[in-house]
Amino acid sequence: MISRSFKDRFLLATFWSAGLAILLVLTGIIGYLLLRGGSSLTVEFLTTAPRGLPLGTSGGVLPAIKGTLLLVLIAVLAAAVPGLITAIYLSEYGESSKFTTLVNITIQCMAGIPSIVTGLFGYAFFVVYLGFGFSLLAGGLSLGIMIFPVIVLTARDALLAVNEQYRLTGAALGVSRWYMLHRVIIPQAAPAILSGILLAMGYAAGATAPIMVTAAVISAGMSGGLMEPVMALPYHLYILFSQHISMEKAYGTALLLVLLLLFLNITALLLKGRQGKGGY
Amino acid sequence: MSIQVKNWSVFFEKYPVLHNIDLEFNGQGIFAVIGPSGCGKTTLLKSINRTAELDRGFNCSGKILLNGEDIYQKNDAASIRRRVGMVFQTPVALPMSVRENVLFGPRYYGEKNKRKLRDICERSLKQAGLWEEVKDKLEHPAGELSGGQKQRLAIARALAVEPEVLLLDEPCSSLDPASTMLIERLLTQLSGTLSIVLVTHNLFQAKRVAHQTLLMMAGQVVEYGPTGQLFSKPVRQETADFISGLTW
Ligand SMILES: Nc1ncnc2c1ncn2[C@@H]1O[C@H](COP(=O)(O)OP(=O)(O)OP(=O)(O)O)[C@@H](O)[C@H]1O
Ligand SMILES: [Mg+2]
Repeated sequence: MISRSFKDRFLLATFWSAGLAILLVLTGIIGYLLLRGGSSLTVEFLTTAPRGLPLGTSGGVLPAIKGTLLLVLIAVLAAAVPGLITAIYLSEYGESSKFTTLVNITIQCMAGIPSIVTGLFGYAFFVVYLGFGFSLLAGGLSLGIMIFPVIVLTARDALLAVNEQYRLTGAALGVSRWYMLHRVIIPQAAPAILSGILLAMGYAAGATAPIMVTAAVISAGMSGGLMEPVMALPYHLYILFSQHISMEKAYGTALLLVLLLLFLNITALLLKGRQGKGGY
Repeated sequence: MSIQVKNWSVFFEKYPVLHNIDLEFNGQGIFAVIGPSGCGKTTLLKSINRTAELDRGFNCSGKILLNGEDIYQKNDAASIRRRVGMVFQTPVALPMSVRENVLFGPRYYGEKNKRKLRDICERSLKQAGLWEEVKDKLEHPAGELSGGQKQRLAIARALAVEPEVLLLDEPCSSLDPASTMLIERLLTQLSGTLSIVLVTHNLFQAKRVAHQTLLMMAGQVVEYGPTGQLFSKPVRQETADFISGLTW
């Protein structure tokens, strides 16, 4: 008995320290970014374009903010609906045929493709083959391909997590699967599905590789045309840092990006916590 | 409503679960199904409203007739399920209000008239003996109800689409004695107007409410007949052993 409780306490302590370590790493990163980049995160930084020679030594990141938001928007518009349909197919209609298994494996593999490879595909297909050129559209769609499996997998699991008894209850009343889906299953899974979409958006906002070869440039105007190249926060950060343009601005940009991702992830977590709560 | 099961067999993948079941249940009253765990009671019940086929690997042979009509003839399981309601072992409250739970079926079947919907709700809840307890909280989430109330809500939900047969799979197994008594009284009342098939692990319950009782073992019919006779003068030795508690 004594050794059992010692073991329990030891394990508990291990889990606690693991959690604590993660917390420390995260606060460490944010704290460091605040320290190095906090001073450059001003209203002017958020609302003006980069200036100076080389470009970015002064001024702000407004075009990059806009570019990133647009890229993420296109990615989500392109991936969410097909992702949701695939997830519904996998969870509700797929039973477990060979085809479903194949689809599941494909999605799993897609999720594992390195993002630079997705970028290369986007370059070959959207930029060159479809003739979109280096553009917002090509970059957004490449990001869409990248986040598609994330959306499918989170939505599938959210749907599968809905109480199986509901489906049986509906079936026993002679109610169609589609009716069950739209009156019970999807509303129940909605918070978790949305949370998955937000996570995917965060993933897209932070991804650099796919847009490096399809959409992002060092400097672009504010036109926001679908067929125009764009600036983007992670790429801007990469340039500021790798070309030693301005470390201060690089940290400011990094801080902004991290805050954006934190916001998306925390919203996602809050949403996820709501699944199936409240009786309705 | 007569239910006839003729030479009915069910397999999951290749594994046989029901073997050549033959039985007849004529008219109203309560038909109890008893038997050891895993003997196929739930599968038999789910065969009668065509929900068994939702499970993977389901295969069947033989016939099940409702009023002489072969329910597996047409490819229309939904209309059979509407006519043959089913209540499951674990009480299920759909994640919506009490009222919407009851009206779930009627709304699906296209009832839009507000007055009619209100009447259906009240009538079904009264039939299920739940009206007095919930009439002031129809808009509350059904998840707030107690286990026994949820089970009666499930009965009301099934009754709302006016089935001809009601199947109940151990409906009282997770309920306290008072709720159990309530449901038994309810079933007895309902049996005046509709055919009820009740799977139960509780032999006393079968004795108390059932007009006829069927004993199954290992996917086969052992014996069935009027409840009094089955319990007092069983024909088969297995039946005598089972009801005296030797084989469970
Ligand atoms: N979907 C299924 N797939 C495979 N085997 C199944 C399936 N459903 C039931 N079985 C098997 O069929 C047999 C009968 O199951 P069933 O649920 O009908 O028994 P039961 O009499 O209702 O048991 P209990 O009293 O424990 O509820 C069991 O051996 C079970 O393992
Ligand atoms: Mg059972």
